[in-house]
Amino acid sequence: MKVPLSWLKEFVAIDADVAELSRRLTAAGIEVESIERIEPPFSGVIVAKVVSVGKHPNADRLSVCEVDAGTAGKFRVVCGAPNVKRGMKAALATVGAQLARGGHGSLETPPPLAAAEIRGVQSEGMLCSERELGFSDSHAGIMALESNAPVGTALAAYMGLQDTVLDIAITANRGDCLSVLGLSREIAALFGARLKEPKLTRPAVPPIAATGEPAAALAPFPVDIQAPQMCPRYAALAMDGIRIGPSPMWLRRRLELSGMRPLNNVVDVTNYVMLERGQPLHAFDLAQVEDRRIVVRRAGDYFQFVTLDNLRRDLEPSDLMIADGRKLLAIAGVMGGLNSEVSDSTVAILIESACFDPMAIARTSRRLGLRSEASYRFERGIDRQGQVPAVIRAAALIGKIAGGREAGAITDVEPIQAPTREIDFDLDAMASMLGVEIPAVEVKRRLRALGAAVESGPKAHLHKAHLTVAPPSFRPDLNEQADLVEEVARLNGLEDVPAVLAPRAAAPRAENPERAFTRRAREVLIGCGLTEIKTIAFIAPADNARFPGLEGGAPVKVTNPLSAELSELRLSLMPGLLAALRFNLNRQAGAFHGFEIAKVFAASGEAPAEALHLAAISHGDFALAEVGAKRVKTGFLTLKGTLETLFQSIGISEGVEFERAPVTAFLHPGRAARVKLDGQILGCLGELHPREAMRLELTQPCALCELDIAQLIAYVLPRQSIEPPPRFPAVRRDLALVLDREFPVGSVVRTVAQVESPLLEGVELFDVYEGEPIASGKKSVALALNYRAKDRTLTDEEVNQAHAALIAEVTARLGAELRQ
Amino acid sequence: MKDQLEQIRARALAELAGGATEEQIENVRVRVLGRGGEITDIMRRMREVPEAERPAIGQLANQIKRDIEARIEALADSHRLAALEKSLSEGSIDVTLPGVRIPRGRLHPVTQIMEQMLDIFVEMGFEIVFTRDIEDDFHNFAALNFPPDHPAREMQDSFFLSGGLLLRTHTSNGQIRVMEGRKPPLAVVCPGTCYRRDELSVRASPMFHQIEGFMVDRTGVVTMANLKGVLAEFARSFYGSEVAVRFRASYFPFTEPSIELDVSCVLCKGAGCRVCKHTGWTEIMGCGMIHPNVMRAVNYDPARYQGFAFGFGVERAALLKLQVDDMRLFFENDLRFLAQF
Repeated sequence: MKVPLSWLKEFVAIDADVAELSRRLTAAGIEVESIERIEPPFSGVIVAKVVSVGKHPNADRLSVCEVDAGTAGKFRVVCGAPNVKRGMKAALATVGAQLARGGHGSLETPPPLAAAEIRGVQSEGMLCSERELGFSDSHAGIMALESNAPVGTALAAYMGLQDTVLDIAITANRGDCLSVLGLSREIAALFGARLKEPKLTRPAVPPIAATGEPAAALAPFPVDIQAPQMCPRYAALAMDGIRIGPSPMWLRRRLELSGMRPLNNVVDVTNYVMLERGQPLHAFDLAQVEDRRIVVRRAGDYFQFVTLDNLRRDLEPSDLMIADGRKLLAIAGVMGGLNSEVSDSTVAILIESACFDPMAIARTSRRLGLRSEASYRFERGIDRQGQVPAVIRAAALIGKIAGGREAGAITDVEPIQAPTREIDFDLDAMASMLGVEIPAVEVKRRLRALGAAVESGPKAHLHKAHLTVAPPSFRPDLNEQADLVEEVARLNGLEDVPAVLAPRAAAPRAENPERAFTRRAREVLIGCGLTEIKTIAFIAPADNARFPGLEGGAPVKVTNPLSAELSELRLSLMPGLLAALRFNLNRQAGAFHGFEIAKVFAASGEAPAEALHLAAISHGDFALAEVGAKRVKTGFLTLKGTLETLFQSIGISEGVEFERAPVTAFLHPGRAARVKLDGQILGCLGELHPREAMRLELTQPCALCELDIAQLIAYVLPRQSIEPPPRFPAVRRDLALVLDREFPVGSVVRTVAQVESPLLEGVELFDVYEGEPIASGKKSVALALNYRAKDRTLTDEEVNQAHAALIAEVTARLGAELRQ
Repeated sequence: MKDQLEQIRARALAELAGGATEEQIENVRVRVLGRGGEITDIMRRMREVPEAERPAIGQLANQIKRDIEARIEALADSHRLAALEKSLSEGSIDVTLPGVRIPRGRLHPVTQIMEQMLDIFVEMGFEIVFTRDIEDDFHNFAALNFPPDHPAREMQDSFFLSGGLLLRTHTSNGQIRVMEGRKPPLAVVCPGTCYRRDELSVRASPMFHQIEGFMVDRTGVVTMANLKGVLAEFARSFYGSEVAVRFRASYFPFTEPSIELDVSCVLCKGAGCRVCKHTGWTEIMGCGMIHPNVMRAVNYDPARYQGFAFGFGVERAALLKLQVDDMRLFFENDLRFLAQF
């Protein structure tokens, strides 16, 4: 909210400079976001009175004027404007004055004004047009000032062109500060300054001219509230004799500095009073109000309404509306209707000053996507007692600047009385909350400064430390102990409270297993050359269709997505990884090895579920080889190696299987595997299907994997028991088996390892060979077997025996032959 | 015989001079020490020597044999040494060639910042709990004292899913999830991803990370003074011990009193710059004493328990700390950016 400092100073006497003011406000929760100094676009211009206008001796169109600038002196000025008249007040630029940029019709800054001889007559200054002062493009004549403008004062000061505008962020709970009056109250409380709230006096209702006596019209304007819960109070006033026109400069200026656009005097006054007092007002053209009554009702059967911005709005039956006897007139608290808008021909108006339910206004305004200064204030809660004062203030201003006369008494209908609030305030509890005691006297002082009524409460005779606090009507946000604690603390910028380190809350907990896992996994993966990436969880439905994830659930749809391309939550991390690959290849990256640990989402039945996945992608050169040597390129096996390193580093050495399977449509059918742990599917690994690779314009194989890491996490923490290094040597025996070409080597190794052989310590694959002299369709698999006993050095004979038994068992189980 | 031996010795040693080639050495070894060699021949002919001289001759023969062997060994050593010297100079490489390796990957900057933050909290005794991204209205809003249609909800424009669910707009749901299931004392941080309806831009992202934290105990144990102590400590640990901290009143539905924590601008050190909008301060987190309505929502009696809560965005902190000015860099995954961390 933008507030001119000059306006605030009308309401509260403060000596502090603007920096100190904004510091204190900010510390108390009224954040001053910026301070803008406003300077006029000219200097050296003063208010002057035209004393005489004479003909120029040598030019028909020019006149020679004597002007009186009070203490600044008297001047003779040659003027070419047709509208210059004796007795008028005008803006006089004296010698040396700097006029506005563009004032001479060019974009340049004009040179300082010099004395000049114009067709033989010396001119000691210039009477200015609006364009020369930068107010408008009007150059048809000089700018006429109001007749009461003080002669000799600087024009900038008179017009309030020098000002400071505070831009203040008001939090959602402080609707009361959305006004000059509210902020002034706050400033007064913070600085212990006096609030100068202007006295509101109602002008006497003038008699109706025609009859000379007050007629039935003097009765308050009839208002019928049919939805009292949504409109607890409605004040109104009819005025006639209105002359619509532009507002005076000072008023327009204030609106502009506050960020509002001036329209006409009546509308400007309603806005001005809203800015000043925080009470939104609306003015209806009284001639358009039929049946001489206002009805506050729900929209009901009306399903459309044209607001004054000439847009047709769809209504819900529960929307709160203002109507007359025959039709709707306004969307209550949000925007008026085109049908009853104040126009140039308006002569009588009805001012509305109501209190509407914040929730009702918020609902309608949000649904319509229609925010107004009024709805903004209603949503945040206005002063429950502010309606009638605002009407009085508006009536006085309209009387002054638009000729309006009150055409009746003020209507004040209040179907629901404001509840009285009394809060039992426990000072001991406040001390427990803050960790410091604030003396009761000081607490009372601060609460009273905020406008609350404070008494030693009903419990005062039992507990000295209890107060009864009645918050002021303009603070609907104060309802319980905690609210008052905040008020007391913030009025001193929270500075009563010291900073003290907290006691340890509880016994230290074990490390979070998910964090332990992801930390270790990340370290391993970056060691394996993968860079961590982060992608956004929203993806296109087409990507979910291509990469349907591990769980096989349905995609989770966002009902209000940012765009169709971001309308589903990812089933898999792979589309994100591939997008990152493509992004980097487009930027000349030679290779891309990345991983992501993040959530994926799938709908299983009704409820959407989330799972933490780890996925990796690898494309291009994998390791740096010796210069000139062949590079190691990425493929299924390099990424598998990375996964094996990962498993090993989290303590999984057994139980992991890579089972060849055409897992999904997006992986190469011959280069894809299911990853299993103890028989459970963890995820998949493979090379991207050439068809997909072609779609993505990849020129090299791209390996991908994705694991559900919930099961892996369980493996991180328990540590296997540690064995001392063996004391006796191992004996190695090699074994070469001839098998069918298609037989998976992994099964061979596993089968051998599983043979019951107490001396067998380990099996290692060291060669796979196809070709002569092995029969075609067969391959030779060479294994190194280690035999060892814990308690002795094995004899050749023992080893030979164990080896022979193992060979017999293995060849039988695998149906393999020994390679001769 | 003795003369013969001396002759053998003299000839052999002469041939085994310093410059002898490996071939010459081998010739001498075979001729003198070999199976049919000169020394063997002498030994075989020992019978011809008078009995009395035999020991002396034998000794001499052995002595000569040892001398020659030693000489050969010494020569061979020098040959090996020379060969080694030669191989060293031949085997030298260009040490400025690049190494053979797997280039190390990088951790995402947001992860690094997040981990650094979590470490600080763990050190201060906080426990880490992860909760869910898909939430219901109760845990994301209602229990956190956001009434329906409350304007505060608009500060956090949500993504909705079917069945009245939504993507959490903040990690504060973690506070509710944890407190629902457990009783104080609690000191917990809940890191995670959040979602708000903002286009990806320089300043915002529809998905980002937050850390929520809270500490709850019996009334009077965890106070606002502790909030100040703990969070100032965090701010100094993370942003550097030289930063100034400032607590100021604010508003959040789930805390009362509500507080905003600022640190002196890390860029201009408080002098005022574009980043801090010339205020000298940068907002780093929202915090406050947990609102009694939040306590009630999880069936804690606000007269018995109190505590503080806080929350902040990780990307925002990362932008500040890394002095980067574009949120999109965190989600584009440009290797030229990521490789710098």
